[in-house]
Amino acid sequence: MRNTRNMGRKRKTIILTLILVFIVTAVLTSCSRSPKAHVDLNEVYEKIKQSSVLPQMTMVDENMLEDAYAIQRSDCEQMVIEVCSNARRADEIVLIEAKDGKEDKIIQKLEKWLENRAQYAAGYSPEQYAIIKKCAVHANGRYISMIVSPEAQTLIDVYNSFF
Amino acid sequence: MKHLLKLRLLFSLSVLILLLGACGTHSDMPAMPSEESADTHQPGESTGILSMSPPPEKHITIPVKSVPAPAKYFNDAVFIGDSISEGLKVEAMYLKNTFNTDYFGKARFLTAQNFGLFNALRGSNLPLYKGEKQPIWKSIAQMDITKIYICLGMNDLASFSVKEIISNYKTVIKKLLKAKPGAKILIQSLTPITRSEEKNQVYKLVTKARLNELNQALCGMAEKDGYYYLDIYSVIKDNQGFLADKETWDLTCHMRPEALARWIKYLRTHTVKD
Repeated sequence: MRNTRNMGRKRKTIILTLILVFIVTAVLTSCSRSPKAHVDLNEVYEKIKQSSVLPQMTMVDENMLEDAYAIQRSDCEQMVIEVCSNARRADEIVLIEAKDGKEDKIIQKLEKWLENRAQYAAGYSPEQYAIIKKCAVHANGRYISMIVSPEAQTLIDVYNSFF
Repeated sequence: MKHLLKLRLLFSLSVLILLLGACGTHSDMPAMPSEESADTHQPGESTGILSMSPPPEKHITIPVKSVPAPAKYFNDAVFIGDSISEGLKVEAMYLKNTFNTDYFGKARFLTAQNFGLFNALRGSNLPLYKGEKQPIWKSIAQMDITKIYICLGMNDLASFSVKEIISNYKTVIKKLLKAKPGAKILIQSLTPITRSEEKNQVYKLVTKARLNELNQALCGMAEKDGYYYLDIYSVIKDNQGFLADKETWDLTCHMRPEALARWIKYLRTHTVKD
């Protein structure tokens, strides 16, 4: 009789412990809002390319980063910046992981860059202007993105899947 | 006797006149070295009375074709242009980053859509530099460059006469040279438009005939003012003087890689002494 009671208690303890562990794990994984520890932006861009939505793109030189975007390379942990090979199209992908404390500075520079691009486009193509105006700079912790494309939402969904 | 004396006098005078004529004070005649300066000559140089300093090099407006320059030749160059030059910039980046083929080294690009000489002077559609729109001469002043390539005028052709464009061009160059004294100015010809653009009269005043007129005027200006002229038009056009439709992105004047490759090759093979 006593043995049966003890076994019953043990079983209850085990079950309760398991339930507790399950709840804690569920809470920790589902409620976490911070990005993963590290996201490889090259991997992200490869996935974006696989969506087959982008035209032929070309990687932007690092010296253009400072000349045109006014962003210091030293403020970035990693970056992927690509523009359309046809300079008349607005398509552009900017993915940057900022160094600690540099996020706001980079966001500001990119917003200004986007604004300037819109101004240029207003002068030569209402279509490209409309594409640029629909796009914005987004931040996910230290990960900053600026995705300009007629299919921007498709690409943003791919990007967000990494976070 | 008197006759002989006269003859001798005449002879001596003739020789004197000849000598004076040869050593005249004309500005482009080389100086005769004095006996003193003979001691400063380097070994191997002639020190005789007839040795002369080499004549000043005649300015060659259109650089002679040579072997392609290495990428580092362009490290101290800046390319100023409009949307057509934007295409050149992007193509150069594409070749470098995709195929590891670096043609332009650390060359800078000051380019913007719809940019032109009038806009440069008026202060609109200015190219960005360090994130700021500012006059190109202000941007140039901040750069470590000695060669300034300019390819502007297409956007001006739609609204101005050739004479007005040349006048604006001169003003822009003056400002550039004030910002960067001694820089070499390399004026690139305008590039051709397509038959489609001319036929559809996208811009009424932008025609093959006016393009050619402006290019001739640019060459003349370069020759007169001591700049260089790069005849890009000649390597881009087809045998009827147009840009082939299939070599554009948009059937106007914005070139695809096939035409851009010829432009790049021309730039690399028509260089100036550093």
